[in-house]
Amino acid sequence: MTEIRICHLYPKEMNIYGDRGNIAVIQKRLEWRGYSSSITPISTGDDFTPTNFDLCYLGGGQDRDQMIVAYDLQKKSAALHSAAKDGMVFLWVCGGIQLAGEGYTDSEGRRIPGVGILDLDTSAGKSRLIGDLVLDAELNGDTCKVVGYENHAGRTFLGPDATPLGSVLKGHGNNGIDRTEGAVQRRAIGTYMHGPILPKNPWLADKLLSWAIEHKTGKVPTLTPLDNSLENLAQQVAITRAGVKR
Amino acid sequence: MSNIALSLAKASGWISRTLGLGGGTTLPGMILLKLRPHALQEMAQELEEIIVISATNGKTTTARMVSHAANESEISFVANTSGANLSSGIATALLQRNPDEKFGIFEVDEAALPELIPQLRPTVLVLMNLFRDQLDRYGELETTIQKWKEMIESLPETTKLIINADDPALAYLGSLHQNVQFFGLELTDYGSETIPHAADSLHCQKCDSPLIFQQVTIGHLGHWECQNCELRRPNPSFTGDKINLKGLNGSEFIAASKKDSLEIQIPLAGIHNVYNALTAYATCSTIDISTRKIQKGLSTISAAFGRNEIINFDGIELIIMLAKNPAGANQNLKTLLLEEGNMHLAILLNDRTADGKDVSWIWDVDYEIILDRISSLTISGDRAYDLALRFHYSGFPATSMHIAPSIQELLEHLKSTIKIDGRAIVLPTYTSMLDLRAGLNKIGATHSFWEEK
Repeated sequence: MTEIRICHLYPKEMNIYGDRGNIAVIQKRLEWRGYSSSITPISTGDDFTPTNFDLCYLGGGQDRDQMIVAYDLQKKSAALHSAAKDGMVFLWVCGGIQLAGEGYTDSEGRRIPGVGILDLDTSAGKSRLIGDLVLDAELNGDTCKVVGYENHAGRTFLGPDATPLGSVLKGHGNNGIDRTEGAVQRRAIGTYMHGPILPKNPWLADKLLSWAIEHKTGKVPTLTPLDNSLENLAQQVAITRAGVKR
Repeated sequence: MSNIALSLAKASGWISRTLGLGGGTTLPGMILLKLRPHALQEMAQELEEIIVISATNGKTTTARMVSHAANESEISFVANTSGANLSSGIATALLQRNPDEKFGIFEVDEAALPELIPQLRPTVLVLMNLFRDQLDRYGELETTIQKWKEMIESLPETTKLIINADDPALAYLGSLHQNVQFFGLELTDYGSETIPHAADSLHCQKCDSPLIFQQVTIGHLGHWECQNCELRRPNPSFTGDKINLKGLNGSEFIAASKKDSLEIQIPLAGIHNVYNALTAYATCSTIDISTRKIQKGLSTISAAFGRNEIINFDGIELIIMLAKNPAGANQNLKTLLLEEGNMHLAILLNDRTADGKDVSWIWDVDYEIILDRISSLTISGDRAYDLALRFHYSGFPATSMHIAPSIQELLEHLKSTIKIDGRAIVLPTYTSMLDLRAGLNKIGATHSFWEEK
């Protein structure tokens, strides 16, 4: 049985938006298709070895914890770059997208460095952008609606090397101005969407799994279709409640 | 004070009830504060003793416990008994106060607290715990902690602060005030050496280093110390020891202070209610209620609105356990594990303002621990499908769940699933509990919440 190796970065510090749900979805959707998976928590002070993993997850945290994590991430920066170049899959959510970029300038003008695996930069806005988020998302020319919830003070703008994960139909997205949400570069995805994002968006979950399996085996897999009726109903409720017409 | 403002505000409560708009537990206060912004301060000044209790979890029950003991002591007091815990609710309670009521016992919303304290100027301020809760409404926990810190730094020294030593962030805040007493639980068999998933406040407030826990009871509450600096759990003046949890039947423990030690029995389940009772004991001792009255007051307490409340529904016992954030929900699940046999479980999830619009918190609840104890699972509420997904991805078979789109269908389903004299455990969020009560009220199974006393 092929084992997909998942690295969960800073699960103790960065976990405030039900991030465990994303991990559960990745594991279960692999399991239901006959793949096994392992989860390795990597915390402050631990080494990150790029060749040990196929998918790397980082969730959202409080400002104070994010600061603690940011400094530790600097020590892993070179390893993360080499992993990204090698095609490892990244899903970095909320605080994660900010840490994946060049850096974050907080409300007092302090600069918190990022690791730069996504070409984007973030600075704190005056207000928090909170609420339901609905996107027209696009990955490798394939499109789908993606739903979630956002709650962030950061305003993120993408550079030329990153493409948005989607365009905003409802909510604020990266910065509340250019209607973009998230960022994609190689197989690294950053997003402000939690909820958590994967349970109600099986399309996105399966894209990540496909990439992770390809990273592990070197072959593009054909994923066995799963019954997504519950997922689709939950997504439909979220879209309707957000006031977006399908 | 302006008579017109007073009478207008008072009349609105009666109008609200008469028109069937609700209990009028907040409207009169809201109107009064609009007409007279300083009314709260003016009315609070007329009281001799004001006790304010705040926390993420347990404030309603604890305020109720303190009120019960005060009743035993024949203290005449005013309180916001219906859990209307913002300025409007407290203003309403004060507005309806009898002149001979010289004590005030108020539970206050944790986000509203910093603004209310300078107005109420409490003689006793009780701070119990802070857990993550409704991030869209309250923001990050750290923000609340910072606001509480500023509030405590500007407290007059005469204010007696009573603080949970087991909550690292709160204990640190307590150390900033001279006039402070701590309470805490001694090491217990119900504690754990491992920190649960998604616990809060795991870093030192002083130096940011990780905290070391000898034991945790709920979330991040426990016996802690900083691995780097000298900060550690303060020695509590009020302790809870020899805890015995008897499942849904209640709990008992020994409460002790320098002065006395007494056995406390409460008909409420779970270690969270032991914390509540210990807090009530510390508070009552501080205002000189005798141990005998405290004991009696706590032993006769009934469940607060929706907190382990039992409602008879056509021969089926519904045990309602409000579950509105991960720490509270996990406590409920742990309590259920102490029960024998399998259970019929109904979970209701709404995402309205009072529940929090962000339902991601259900993924931080450890439903996994009760999966093999569920004989039937019914799911309802505005975000029922999110809950269904939560169970689906925990490995619970989708075909074994029943999704009820409305309260009426939920009740019908429970009736068809459960035998007469059977019981169902219901875990609702706040507004879904109100929906459930409205549904039960319609068929005469319960009374309206403003009649609660």
